[in-house]
Amino acid sequence: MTVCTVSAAKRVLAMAPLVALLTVRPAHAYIDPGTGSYVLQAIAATVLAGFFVLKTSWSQFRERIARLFHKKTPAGPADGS
Amino acid sequence: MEASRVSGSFRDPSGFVFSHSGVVYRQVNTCYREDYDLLMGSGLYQSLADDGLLVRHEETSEVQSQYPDQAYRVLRPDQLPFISYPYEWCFSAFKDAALLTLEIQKRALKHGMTLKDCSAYNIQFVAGRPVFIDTLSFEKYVEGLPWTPYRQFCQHFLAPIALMSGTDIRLRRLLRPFIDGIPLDLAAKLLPYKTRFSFPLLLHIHLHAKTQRQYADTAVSKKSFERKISRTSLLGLLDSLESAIRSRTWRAAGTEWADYYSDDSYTQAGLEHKKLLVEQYLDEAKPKDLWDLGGNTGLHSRIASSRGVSTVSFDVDPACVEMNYLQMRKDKDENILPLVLDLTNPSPALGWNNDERMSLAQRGPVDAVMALALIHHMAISNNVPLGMLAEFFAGLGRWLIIEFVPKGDHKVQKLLATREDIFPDYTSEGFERAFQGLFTIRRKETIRESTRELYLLERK
Repeated sequence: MTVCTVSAAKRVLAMAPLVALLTVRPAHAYIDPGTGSYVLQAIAATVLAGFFVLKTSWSQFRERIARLFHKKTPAGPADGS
Repeated sequence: MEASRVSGSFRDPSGFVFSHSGVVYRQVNTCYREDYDLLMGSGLYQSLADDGLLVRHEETSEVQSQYPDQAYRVLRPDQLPFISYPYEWCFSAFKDAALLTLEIQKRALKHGMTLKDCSAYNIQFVAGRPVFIDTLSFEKYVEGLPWTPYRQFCQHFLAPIALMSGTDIRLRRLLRPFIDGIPLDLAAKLLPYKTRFSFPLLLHIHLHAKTQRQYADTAVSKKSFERKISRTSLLGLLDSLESAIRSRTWRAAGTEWADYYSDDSYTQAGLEHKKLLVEQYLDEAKPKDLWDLGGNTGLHSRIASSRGVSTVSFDVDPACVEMNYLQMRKDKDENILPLVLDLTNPSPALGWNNDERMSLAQRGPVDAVMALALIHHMAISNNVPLGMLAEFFAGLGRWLIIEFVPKGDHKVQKLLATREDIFPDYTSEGFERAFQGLFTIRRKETIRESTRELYLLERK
């Protein structure tokens, strides 16, 4: 599991206003998403997208290798595609 | 009979739940028409319902609610045998409910939809599995928009699971006062410092709480609300939440009650005789549904569930309920639901107007109630007079299978060891006197090699 220090995370948070560059129409929902939650989600999702792409690519690579050698792979993480 | 709106169904303008002649229906309002048609037309409903993840429904025109002018459709969902609430779930049940919610969100994305809310109250346990029951929780997915219920998922699922796992299993109870989930700043305060070194918890709870605080009193420009979140980013977020949930663990063991049947309360012959009597009493009462109060790990609840009786097995000990739940999952037992409940302070009616979530009693009555090796804890540890106990049980069900544990029993002696005996009526005769006002004694047997007595009572 990735380990991250609080101070490093604080720096990421401090950069929050810089991330607000791209715009789409605002969501309309019957529950309040919360301003802070909204901001954090935007930053977190951007960072996590990278991890996710790496994870799924690695998983696909392993599957291809396994198929190449006709081996069965154990059940991987839940399919997120 | 008139249709009546279910009092807890008012937040979402997309529709509401109502009951008519004892059957529960869901009205889809006209404003939800597009999303409902997409749910049904995109294949998402079929996919979820076929796999038992979403409650099945059929459209009906047999009944109408008291607001027919707003109706686009009326649905008759499969009827639920019992409504449970998150503050009654054991640890693994909570995890299963959270993972189901994430799985549904991922499937929704594949069909061009997304969840618009993530309330833990949208999950019920049916036939041994969690099932999503809010058919109107889906909306069209627009790429770029953030996931609206992110905060709600963290409050309703991640925070309680992290607290139960990392701090104390009893913190599940916080969901009773905090009906919209545990506030993240409180969760962050209560979690041990080491959880900051778990990246998912650091992100979704600690930094989440901090960002909420930071923006609580800040005027934010409209632009700040218009951040684009790609589909891949959203999948990354969901994947991270799933990792956070999966990595939380809690081992049920070592509590006083988890070892109850392996201690010296009964001899082997006594335990077998008690099981036989429960079987006989159940065969005589033939209940359709039953609540086992103080069900421990479900040993006797399973006698009922194996007979096809819809059984809810309650216990105050989260370790017992966890073991019971894991056994249910292993056995694929479709007739038992283990829940955590403190009978000295059972789940009250909660929420808006004290009418949003039902009390325990409001979810009854059932055909039969079982109270084995329980009465001494209520009458002696909690000082409840026997007459009040009789009234309580009479309000819950027609049949009562109850074990009387006399003062001579070493368990009662233990309860009285450090306190004055102020219970002169706590005798076999006193018990019968108190209960015979409301019940008729149908059977009475002394459990072999013990002084305990097992009664089958029928409400007058």
